[in-house]
Amino acid sequence: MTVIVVNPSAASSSGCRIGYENLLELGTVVASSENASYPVENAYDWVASDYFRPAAGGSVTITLTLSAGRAANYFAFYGQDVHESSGSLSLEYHNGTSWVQVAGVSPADNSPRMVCFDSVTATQWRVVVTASTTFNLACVAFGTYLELPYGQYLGWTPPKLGRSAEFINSVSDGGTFLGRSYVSQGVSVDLVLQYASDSWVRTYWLPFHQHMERKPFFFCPDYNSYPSDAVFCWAEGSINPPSHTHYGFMGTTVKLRGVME
Amino acid sequence: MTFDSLRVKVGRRPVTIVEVDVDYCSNTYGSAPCTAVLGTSGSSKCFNTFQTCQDKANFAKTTKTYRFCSENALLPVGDGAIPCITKVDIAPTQLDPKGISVSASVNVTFKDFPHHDRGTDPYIDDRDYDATGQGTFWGKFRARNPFLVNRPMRVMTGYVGDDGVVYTRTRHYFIDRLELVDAKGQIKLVGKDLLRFSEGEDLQVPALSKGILDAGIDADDTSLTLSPAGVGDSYGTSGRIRIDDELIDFSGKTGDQLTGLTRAVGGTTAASHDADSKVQECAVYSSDSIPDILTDILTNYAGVDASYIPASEWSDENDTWLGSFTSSVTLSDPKDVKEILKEVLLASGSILWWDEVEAKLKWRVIVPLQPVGEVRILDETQHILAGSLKVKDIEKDRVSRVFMFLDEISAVADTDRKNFKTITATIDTESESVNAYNASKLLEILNRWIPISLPLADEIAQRFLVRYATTPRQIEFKLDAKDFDIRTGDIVDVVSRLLQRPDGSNGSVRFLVTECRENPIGSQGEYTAMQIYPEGGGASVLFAANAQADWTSASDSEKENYMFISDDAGVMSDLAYGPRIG
Repeated sequence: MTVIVVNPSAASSSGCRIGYENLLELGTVVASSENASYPVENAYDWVASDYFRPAAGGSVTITLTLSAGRAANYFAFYGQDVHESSGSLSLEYHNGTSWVQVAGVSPADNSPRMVCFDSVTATQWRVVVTASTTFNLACVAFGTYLELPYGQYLGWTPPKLGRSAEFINSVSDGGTFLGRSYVSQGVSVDLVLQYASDSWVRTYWLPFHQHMERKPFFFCPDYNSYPSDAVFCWAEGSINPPSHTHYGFMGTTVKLRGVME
Repeated sequence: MTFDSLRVKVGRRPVTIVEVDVDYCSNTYGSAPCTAVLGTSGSSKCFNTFQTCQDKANFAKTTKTYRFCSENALLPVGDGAIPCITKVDIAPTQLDPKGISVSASVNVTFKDFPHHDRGTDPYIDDRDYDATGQGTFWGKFRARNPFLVNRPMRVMTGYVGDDGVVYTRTRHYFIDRLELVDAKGQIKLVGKDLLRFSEGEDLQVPALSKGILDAGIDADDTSLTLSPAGVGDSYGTSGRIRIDDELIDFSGKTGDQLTGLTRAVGGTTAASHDADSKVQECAVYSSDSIPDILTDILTNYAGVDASYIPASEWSDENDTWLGSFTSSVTLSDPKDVKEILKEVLLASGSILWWDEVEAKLKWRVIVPLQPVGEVRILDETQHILAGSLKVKDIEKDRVSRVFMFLDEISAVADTDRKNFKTITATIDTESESVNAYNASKLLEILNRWIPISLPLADEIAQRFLVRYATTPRQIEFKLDAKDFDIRTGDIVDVVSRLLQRPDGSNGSVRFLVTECRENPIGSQGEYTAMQIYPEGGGASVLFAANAQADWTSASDSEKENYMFISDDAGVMSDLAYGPRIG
């Protein structure tokens, strides 16, 4: 059973948004073109090392049909080479007569992208990928984002700046610098929940916590100021449960590991 | 952009990829020629592997390649390698200049994980379970593919280029085993090099024959019948057999009957033999070159694919250093393949090793190594990493005298000193003198593989003495990836304060690289090298005038100035090993 409860209100202004609900997991998904070795399921299984690949390039649709209308207000993706052919990815819903686009991106690189829009409810959705050649797509998600009551505070490192790597330096016996290897370990970042009411934590954080225990998600810590600073990430190690920090309010810090390139 | 251009680049991004080839059926379940029927031949469909096959007679073997990478590899989009490698430990070939080399091996450790089976289960849509929620990747892999031994695996180490493309160098191995390391889901895949095929306990030269005499034969019988029925199929249509202590040639075979017997060959005596006596087929080498013998042992007795043996390279090496030297030997008593290989290599003064990068078996005669082209100079400023150089004497490897036993008396007797007619002794008297080591170190070679030839035996012995008469020095050092072009078998000159001349200046000492191990992979390399003698790369000489005294009578000054030519075996008139024109 999939339990997903997200903040239905997009009115919160913290801009600290998490995209973990993926409507593609809740309905029937059909791709207009598919390489049998790279099925469309690979695009929404949250695994970044397997890919959906169509049989040919062009305009390829991934169509979702739900049993009942569901709302969405974000569209996110990671792990694509559509940008190499100057292609685009967009999200559309069916209004009963025609398809209407709610989000569209022409990515310049492979960095994770998370695009928010006014909430729309529909039973039919589709992702449209346009590329001149066959492409690969690892993760695509859309649904309703979770917005934290407050954003991240002092002492916190934005994911874009939280690059983590191992360096191996070679220095000769005579002290000469001979070379360096660089092993990227993605980005390391904290997700800080602060001043969340008891009821908010019970209603919204707990389902997200359950998702974090099993799957990655998209995280954009300040969508209002830096909408392109999204990270595809996952909880690292154990997940600290929320605790009371003020009377009636709770908070926690979760260590995340992710990728931004 | 290339592997070599990236490895010398500061800020390179190392990556390791492992590929494993497993058997896979090209048929579709239930479609001709596959006769499997769901509900009849099995309760669920197979996984197109032999273990799960429900119509094994029609299993159509092809290869399916699984591709894995390290967890943080960040491979280009679309690569599809599964990021579950936690550790790769490459144990390189260790060149043993006195024979067969220590095999290279690799241990790859993986982390287990839930897997959706897409890409691994061809009938995933027909299953009545959720693959992600049932079992793990490696648990299912092991259950579906238990027959992994000797299947190829490749370890590709390299770098991710700025263009997003991965550039690698590939090492070739064969799967030895798959181990479940612990309950935490760690899996270890062990691969070994091609020479592992020579290490099988049941691999012998000649192969153990299973036939016995159906009835006793007299000393003059010219045919015999083998038992049990049908065992004749495992014998050649002609060849040589051993019964008790008699060697017998046969020229024909009809079913289980060997005909056209020539009795008492190879210096043995014709005798009667009782029923049920063992009939052992022999391995016979008649005027064969060492490369031909090695190739026969490796391909016909060790199961090595001939494509891994560079026949023309071996032939060139043989022509250059062993010339017309051929062997005539009968092996009548099954012995381990590895033991026979060691014997042949020691007898011919040659070495054999697996080059995992070129995927070739290399064979080289031990000679005073001459560099091909310019020798790389490694110094403490530009090459050797801080604190990594160690120098030690390997006294146990010193050799001051070589006793070579020649001319095997009987091919049916044990190979020990008593079974040889002749002995040659080659001694480096200077190194044994009271002013030098004042002790002898003996290398004894029971050599049934070379003909009775004093110059030839002496030449091989001299090659050992040239290399080992002075205590060999071994060095260990580390290099940056920029110097990864230096590999096992290469010659290098090392300049270091740890290799001083008598006057205290840094000497340039020549070494043969016997081992190189990437650690950390893609970043630095650990090297081991043995000093080789004589030092230096040769000298200019003059042609002497007519009537010049030969080498034995020439003065030291004449020897320094003139070029003296050895005989065909490379030996000078005083039986010393002579200089050679490359």
